[in-house]
Amino acid sequence: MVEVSLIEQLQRGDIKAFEKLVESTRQRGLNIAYGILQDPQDAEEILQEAYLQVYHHIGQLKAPETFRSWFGKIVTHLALRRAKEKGRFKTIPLEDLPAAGCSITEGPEYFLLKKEKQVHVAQTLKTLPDEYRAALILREWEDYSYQEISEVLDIPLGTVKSRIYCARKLLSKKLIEGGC
Amino acid sequence: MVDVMCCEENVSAYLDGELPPEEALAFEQHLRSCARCRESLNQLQALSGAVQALPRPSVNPWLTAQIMDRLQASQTVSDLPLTRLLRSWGLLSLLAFGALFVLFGPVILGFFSVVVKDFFLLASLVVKISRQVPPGAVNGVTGLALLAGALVAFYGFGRIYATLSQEELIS
Repeated sequence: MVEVSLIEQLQRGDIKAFEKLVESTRQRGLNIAYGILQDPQDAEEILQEAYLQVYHHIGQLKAPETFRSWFGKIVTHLALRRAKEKGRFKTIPLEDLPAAGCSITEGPEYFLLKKEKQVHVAQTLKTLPDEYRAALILREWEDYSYQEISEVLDIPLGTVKSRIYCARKLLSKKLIEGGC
Repeated sequence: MVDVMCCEENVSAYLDGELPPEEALAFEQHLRSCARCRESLNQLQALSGAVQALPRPSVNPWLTAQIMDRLQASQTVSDLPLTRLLRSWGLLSLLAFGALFVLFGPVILGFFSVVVKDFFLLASLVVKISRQVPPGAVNGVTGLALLAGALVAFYGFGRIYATLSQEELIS
């Protein structure tokens, strides 16, 4: 893996390796930050902050092959903190959400991707609780495994499974209510 | 009776390829006979596709340069001898504060509680006394020393706050 050798070089103090690492991982980082914050400018600021932390704390990364989840964790935590500080979206507290078990009753035609529906899906995604959106974005946009999401969000594996399911359930429920 | 396999959480995990191999196999067999789960799987697949297809912003082409600039700027500042000295002062003030608190904790807390409670009374008293003190070299130096002490204490607290904030112990 390219990242591993770059990280090893960076840990030896090679700043060029850091530049290459930024080049190869920035889109991934931006996707995560944007997925959580839903604001490109905020996402970019968070990403810059995240890379400064990566540079200053790279020595703490014991296993370079775990960089993907370590980096995801830095970006996710900074983005969640920013989202909390700004209180941008009115989200439902986790404890107020319905317990898992209610089924999705509408057919797949509700989620067919037309342009206007895409906008509606994006708008509805914003209304999910931050923690749910973070788990879903890591899974759907960046293909993180449940194990990696568990490490990024500091939650047990079982919670990842239910959180992703609940995020999907809630999203589909809201889309149906919104007439999508 | 609903089959134990008819759990939408499992459908979601199966879609993500996150069921253990034996469970996945059992779930696939279950899917053949359960129209409800097949329907759920189709819906979740469609939803997942919709989320995956959402547009994402492209990276600003100057991002790497901006990060490198910020990094170099922070390194330049942190490499200055003055910054290193100030950083060590921050640590020293933290140690001094800790030692003072261990030795005189109750007295310090009592003093601050009086300051907070009777702030205006104390302030007027200080002004009154300072007017009665005759001007002179000794009094001037004492006043300056007290002022410098207050500034150092203020700076020390600032450094403590900044350090804790940087380590994300406080926000």
